[in-house]
Amino acid sequence: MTTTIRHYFKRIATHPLNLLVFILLPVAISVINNEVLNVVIDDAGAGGIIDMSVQYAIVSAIIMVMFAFFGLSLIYDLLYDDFKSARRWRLLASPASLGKFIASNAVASTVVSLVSSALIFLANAIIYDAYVPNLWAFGLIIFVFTIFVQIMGMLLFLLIPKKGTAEAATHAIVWSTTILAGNMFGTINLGTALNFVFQRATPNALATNAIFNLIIENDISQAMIYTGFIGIYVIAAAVIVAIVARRRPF
Amino acid sequence: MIATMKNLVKRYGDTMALDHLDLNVVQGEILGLLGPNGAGKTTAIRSLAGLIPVDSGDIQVFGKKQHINNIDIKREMGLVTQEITVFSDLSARENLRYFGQIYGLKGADLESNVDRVLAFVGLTEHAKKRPKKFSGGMQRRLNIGCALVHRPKLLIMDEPTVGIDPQSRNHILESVKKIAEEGTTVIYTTHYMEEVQAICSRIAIMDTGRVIAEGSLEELVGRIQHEDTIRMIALTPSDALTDEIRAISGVKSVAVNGNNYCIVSGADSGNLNRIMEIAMRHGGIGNISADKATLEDVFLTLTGRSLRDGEEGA
Ligand SMILES: Nc1ncnc2c1ncn2[C@@H]1O[C@H](COP(=O)(O)OP(=O)(O)OP(=O)(O)O)[C@@H](O)[C@H]1O
Ligand SMILES: [Mg+2]
Repeated sequence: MTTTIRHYFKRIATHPLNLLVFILLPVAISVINNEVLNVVIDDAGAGGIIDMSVQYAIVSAIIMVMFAFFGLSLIYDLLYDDFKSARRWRLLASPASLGKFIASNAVASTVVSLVSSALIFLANAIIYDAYVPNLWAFGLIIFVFTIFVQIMGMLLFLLIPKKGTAEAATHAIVWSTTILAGNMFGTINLGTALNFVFQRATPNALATNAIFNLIIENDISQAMIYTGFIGIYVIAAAVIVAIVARRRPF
Repeated sequence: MIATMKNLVKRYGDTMALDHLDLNVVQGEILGLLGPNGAGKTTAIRSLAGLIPVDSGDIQVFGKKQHINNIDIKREMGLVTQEITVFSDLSARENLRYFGQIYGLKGADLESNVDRVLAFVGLTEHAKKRPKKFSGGMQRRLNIGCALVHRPKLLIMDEPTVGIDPQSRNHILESVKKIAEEGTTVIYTTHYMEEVQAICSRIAIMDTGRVIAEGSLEELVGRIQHEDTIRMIALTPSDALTDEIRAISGVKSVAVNGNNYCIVSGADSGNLNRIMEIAMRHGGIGNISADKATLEDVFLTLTGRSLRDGEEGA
């Protein structure tokens, strides 16, 4: 198992596009965003009132959740390459089982996604002294959300025949939920029901809100309740994946 | 018998990909599996390797019953896919190493086998390069090498020379012969009859999901050909020469037109040599040739179609 995990880790972590999308880009964006934030707050003359490090942490949290969500593609990318192509015959002709390859890939992509989140946070923490009252609770929120994303990525792989379609779906899902939650261009009013869905109920809204609660309100229990709801998504997604995988063995 | 397939049926919707296929593989041979596009070669191979379930029939490999995911069998088998399936983002060495690892090799044993295969496929100097920088022939060689690291007892090769230059093809054909000499049984799938003629000790011709003929090249050709046609230019034709050829047993007819002789004789009677001997005594030969049937003719005779028919579409 360790050799196959290492194999997938190497392929995922050294892929130039992954390095760009999951390390360079999010770190750069959060740094730039915080820089902009700095200027805005200075202009408003509010520097003394608002706890700067909290604002920084919020920006990096939103970005972290968004890029963790883009981690959908981390898990299915190599699954398409290896198992929706003739290579599957070669891999399955070996004594290693399909489950072993899939699990190894999942472990590797989860690790890369978590490392990506950690680096975004670290970059902000080092440069701007972003402050999080409870690092463990913060880590748990990101971890549970990342697990949900990875399982959902697996589901996309099972349901969508072509990688290009899955990538398009990923962009559609991540951008729309982030924008409609009001985390990108400010609040958007969609009516009570949809507002609730996008601002409160989607897994990424839950993750973002959990982090806000933790950082702004210092309300760990509320943050953990939100995390619990993400946990329900995790279980639901896992059950759906199990059903789909059984119905359509690939 | 290292592997047997009995009465295999595999349907894809209305297509009978395998239509009561029977095939035996003898220990130590290079078995050529020859057939046009869509004949069912790949399907047969995948069933044999335990990669797809069959609808009915029985498969035995190494004396064990094959089924989906029979790990004991997979360990001793190597599969070279029809498509190039190496990892383009890993170096040649890393590719070989990984394919050794998933067959359970490690440590010094793994490294020595990787080095052996690199040398064998002629890629030692390119070990650090990634296959995307390779020529088509080099990629094909690596594709083959990846199935050799774990020293399989049975190597299955699905059209391993598709789309490469003649020089690389010859290199690969020579390699296959060497692999077999070292004791590996090889199943070699192709739709090029020249390849099976060059390297295979036994040939199974497949069409529409069945094996329609099986045997050595001589046996297969002998089955359709009962006569050899020998054409000769005699330097000094004479009645004496004609009479003497006619008198050879097995010679059915002799037609003379000036210097040109056309002799029909029973197949494989050894009469070509006798005729040459006689003609030399009667003033010499300008030219002599015997028309031999090829596998192409065998296929044509058995199916009424050309082996190459499918190729236009490919
Ligand atoms: N997964 C599949 N789904 C549907 N039909 C299939 C599938 N695989 C093979 N077939 C059909 O089964 C028949 C045999 O195909 P197969 O690939 O075994 O032939 P082949 O001899 O390997 O041909 P080629 O020289 O083109 O590789 C063909 O008619 C093909 O269209
Ligand atoms: Mg084929």
